[in-house]
Amino acid sequence: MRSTLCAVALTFGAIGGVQPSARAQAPDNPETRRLEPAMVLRALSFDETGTFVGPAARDFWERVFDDDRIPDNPEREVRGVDDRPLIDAAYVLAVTCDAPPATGRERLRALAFVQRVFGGRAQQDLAAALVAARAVILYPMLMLSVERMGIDDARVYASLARAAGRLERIRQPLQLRNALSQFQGAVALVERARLAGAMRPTVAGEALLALAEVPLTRRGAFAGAIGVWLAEHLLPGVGVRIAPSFDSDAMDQQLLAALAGSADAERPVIEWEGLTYEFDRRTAQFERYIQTRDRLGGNRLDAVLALSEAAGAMASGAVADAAPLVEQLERSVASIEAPRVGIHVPNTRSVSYADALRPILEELRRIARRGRPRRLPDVGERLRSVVDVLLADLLRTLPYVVHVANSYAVRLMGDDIAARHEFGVRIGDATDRARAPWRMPHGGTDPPVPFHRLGEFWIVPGVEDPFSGVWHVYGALMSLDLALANFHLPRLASAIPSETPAFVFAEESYFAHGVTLFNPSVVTRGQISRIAGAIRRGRARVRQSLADAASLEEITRDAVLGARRSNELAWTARNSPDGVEQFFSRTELFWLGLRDGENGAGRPPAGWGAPAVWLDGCLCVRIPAPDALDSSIVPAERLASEFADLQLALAEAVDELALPASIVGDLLPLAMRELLDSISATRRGRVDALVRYVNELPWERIEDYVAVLVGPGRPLRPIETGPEP
Amino acid sequence: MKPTSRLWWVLAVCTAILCSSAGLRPVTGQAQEADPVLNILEPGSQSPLVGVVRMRAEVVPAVDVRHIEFYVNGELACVAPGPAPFECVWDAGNNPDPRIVRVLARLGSGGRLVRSMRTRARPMALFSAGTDAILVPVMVEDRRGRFVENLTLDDFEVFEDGVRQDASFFEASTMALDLVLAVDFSASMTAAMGPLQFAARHFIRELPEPARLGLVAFNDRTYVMARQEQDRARLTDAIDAIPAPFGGTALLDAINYALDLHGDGQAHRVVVLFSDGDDRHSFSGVDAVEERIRASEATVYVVTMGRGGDIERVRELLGRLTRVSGGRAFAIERIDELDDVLLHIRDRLQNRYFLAYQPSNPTRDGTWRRIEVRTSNRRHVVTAREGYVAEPRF
Repeated sequence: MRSTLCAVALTFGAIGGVQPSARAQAPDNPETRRLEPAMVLRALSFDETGTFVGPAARDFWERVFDDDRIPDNPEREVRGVDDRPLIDAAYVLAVTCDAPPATGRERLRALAFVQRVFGGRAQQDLAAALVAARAVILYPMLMLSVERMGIDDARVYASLARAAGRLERIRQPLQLRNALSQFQGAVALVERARLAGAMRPTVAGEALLALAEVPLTRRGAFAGAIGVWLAEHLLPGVGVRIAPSFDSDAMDQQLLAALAGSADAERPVIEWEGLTYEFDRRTAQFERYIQTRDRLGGNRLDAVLALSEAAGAMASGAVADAAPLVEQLERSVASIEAPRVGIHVPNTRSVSYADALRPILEELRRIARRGRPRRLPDVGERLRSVVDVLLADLLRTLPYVVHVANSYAVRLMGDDIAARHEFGVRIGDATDRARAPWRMPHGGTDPPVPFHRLGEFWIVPGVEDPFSGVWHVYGALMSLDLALANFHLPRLASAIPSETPAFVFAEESYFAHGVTLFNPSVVTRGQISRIAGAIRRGRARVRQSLADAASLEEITRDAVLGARRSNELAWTARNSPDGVEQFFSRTELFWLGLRDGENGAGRPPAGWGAPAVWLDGCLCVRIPAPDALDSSIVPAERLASEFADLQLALAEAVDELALPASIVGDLLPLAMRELLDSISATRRGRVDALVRYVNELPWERIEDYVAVLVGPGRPLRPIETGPEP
Repeated sequence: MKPTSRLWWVLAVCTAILCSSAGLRPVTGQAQEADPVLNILEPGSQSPLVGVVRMRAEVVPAVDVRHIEFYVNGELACVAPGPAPFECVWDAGNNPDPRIVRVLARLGSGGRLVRSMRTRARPMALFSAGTDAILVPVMVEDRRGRFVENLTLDDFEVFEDGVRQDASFFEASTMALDLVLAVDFSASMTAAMGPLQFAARHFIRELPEPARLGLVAFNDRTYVMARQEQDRARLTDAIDAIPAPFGGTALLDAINYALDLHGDGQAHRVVVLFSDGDDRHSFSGVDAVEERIRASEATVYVVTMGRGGDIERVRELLGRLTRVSGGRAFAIERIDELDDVLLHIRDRLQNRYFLAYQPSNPTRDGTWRRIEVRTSNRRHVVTAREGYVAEPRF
């Protein structure tokens, strides 16, 4: 019945969004807000007959939604799927709009995800699609992050989903936290390597397949096996030379350098305000990583892998003489720190690494003295449990190193921010506990970080600390940049809002997602030129449209203006023709130009636009359709999801100023910060306020943003052109 | 045609050809006014940017210039107000690297002129002497809370980790004050904002010379309104420019931020923070902020009003954070008490002795070194920072 109501609402033109009065009563959390039918239909593709594009058999989707297990034999599960009937908009609205909001969103995410990843090859991969569809409901950030990596191998999705299912079965919270830190941290590093262009999709896919196969012990521990995976798959995949050592941090640095960007990335030389610079994002990023790494502290990759290697050798029984191991482990005491967990509690100390190692060393010495190498594998296993804790700490820290925007953010959040990461392993309800670690990461203070006893390492504090409500991240380690997105928006010292800003911190994060999901390493000069060219053509069309009513009607149609905006345009053209150009948003100008050029068949460039994550779950940006925001007031996450004007304006400016295309990635955070500071609370939720801000953004301000990109950790590196005096 | 006039004719033709080939038009009739040009006079391109430096620029020919902004590596360093001469002072710190200075002149006509330059690196040989000295601002009161004046170096004993140190004395009048005032403008401050701005302006005017002053306005976000400002009139203007109150309170974040605004040179670094609420929005944890205070060498004063002072947990926390720095937390009930408290803080700043010593333990290993200062009179109450972090030097 509700789906019928949805359809009726569509028919009567409520596509633009709910009415303001209804919205005023709506809860702030978008996850709990009922889905808008227009948004649901916009997020999905239907063919000319109204059929869902991709695996469209209704029987298939009912099987997806009727069970929440990852099948061991998905082929059997899809055997005998009826080809008919096919699902259409009415079915989609019924399963999304009719369901409770959270379920509706999960289903929309699954429909959109399968359409994006499996849309073109549905029939042969139906089994894989079923696994992925269920997995994106159960483990959303795992599946969406793999998609973000640009991996289209169906085996990767299915294998990782099964691996996540194995982790779910770990009951002991500390063991679960350790295992999640290692598994998710490993995926997060592959994700970062892919986004930085340091790893090809096939290599990343193979590394993830291997990760999914890393065995768990009966107690639910990786027992050092993730260390082996690092040495055999991740590190060679990004070109790190394997040389574990207790005395060096060379591997750690090489890994960070790889995650900072591709070594093959261009470093163009530019002239700016009379000085010459090299534009080098990779070095700037690497400098920031090193600074953040030092502040976050913790053990380096080299030392942890050296210990992992020693434990592995002992456990395998391949070592005959314990004496060199004693010496090696004694050396490790000098270089390995105790890992951190939870927030620091005054008067509560972790057991030091040296203390944890002491019984193992004593045992090794006994073995060496008595010459009984048969017991070495047992000692190796004990050492592996220590390695597991250290690997968990390392792999929880490294994603923070690469996603914390700057050293100031570390200072603000505290250098134990990675240790405070909370997967939700102590949640009482079993279903919630299983889902929590795979949800989109987000920050908050409540509930506080629980304190854990990690094996033999930690003392649980006896009293509850009154300050345990300190800010930390909940959810997955993958795509951690979403939780830390606000910290990617630096404020220029000279910019102080004159009025109360429109958006609170949580709402600003929707816009900040557009900054972190924009990947500068994949944008090209050609894309910039296409965008700028389309906007220029759009402007020209708008100017020409003033000549006659037919042209005006044509651009009204091409910009898909609703009734209200059409009337406003007609009025403006009659009474204030100079204002017609400013009447259009950059997105509308872009579409007008795109439809005018490129033989009318141009598609918007990939990798540009507004964040889609709050529309259909995609960890990507895309240029919204011109009619996406015709209504005047919408919730903040919807506004952010349909607003690409700022990015397009920057692309236009970068084209005009002949700057490297990827500099947009450095200008966008500065521009977004100022936009958010400039929209006053009285203009809250108003599309036109954002459009006007961008239309009035002076060219000089963009030049100021460019001028900020100098200095350590920033991409414009001055080049000495004249001779040294 | 005379040879001379022929020569002029040839010159005129050549000039016309050259000008047209360069895309310029020869000036005819009434002389056109030349476009104004912005020149950076200081710092020079051949000099490193180190310590307290003067920034100077000119616009020629003279036009109406509202002010000139000086940026260093993208950060606003200082603003020179009009009319000419345009100069201001900035603490460049000890960074030996070359830096980009960008100067921006805001014209009265609404336009702007921009000029950038690169300074030279500081030779590494200069990068050493005298940086190990530990400065300890000390306040001495008698049992009735009156400041004890006219003490000499012989009256003091300084201990680091229990080991007596060989201290020297600084004249208080020669020690510059580097003070950052942080004020809460969260929504709950609406009624108190006027009296707060009045008290803040008064406080700023009454501070001892020489002083470099910063202003941070905070709610659940933090805004830098002024940094390293020597012109008190400009700072009081910044106080007036604090936006209308909104948002929640992130007190710990504000302390963290304020500590970043101090310069690098030798000075008595102080943070004075006023807030009316307990902290519900900070990203910073208490431990992280305490660690920052310990490492910063700054004296921190916090004044709270209402809820911020009523809650035991908050009082305890602020007492702990300020005590470690040699500062103090004050709680007031009404905003009209703020003026008196700020003036009391001013008095505490004015009645300081400055002791300095080279630590007998020269190891820079990142550990916390406990400082204890005593006077020969056991009835004196001595307030000083509790220690410092022996940061490793690279």
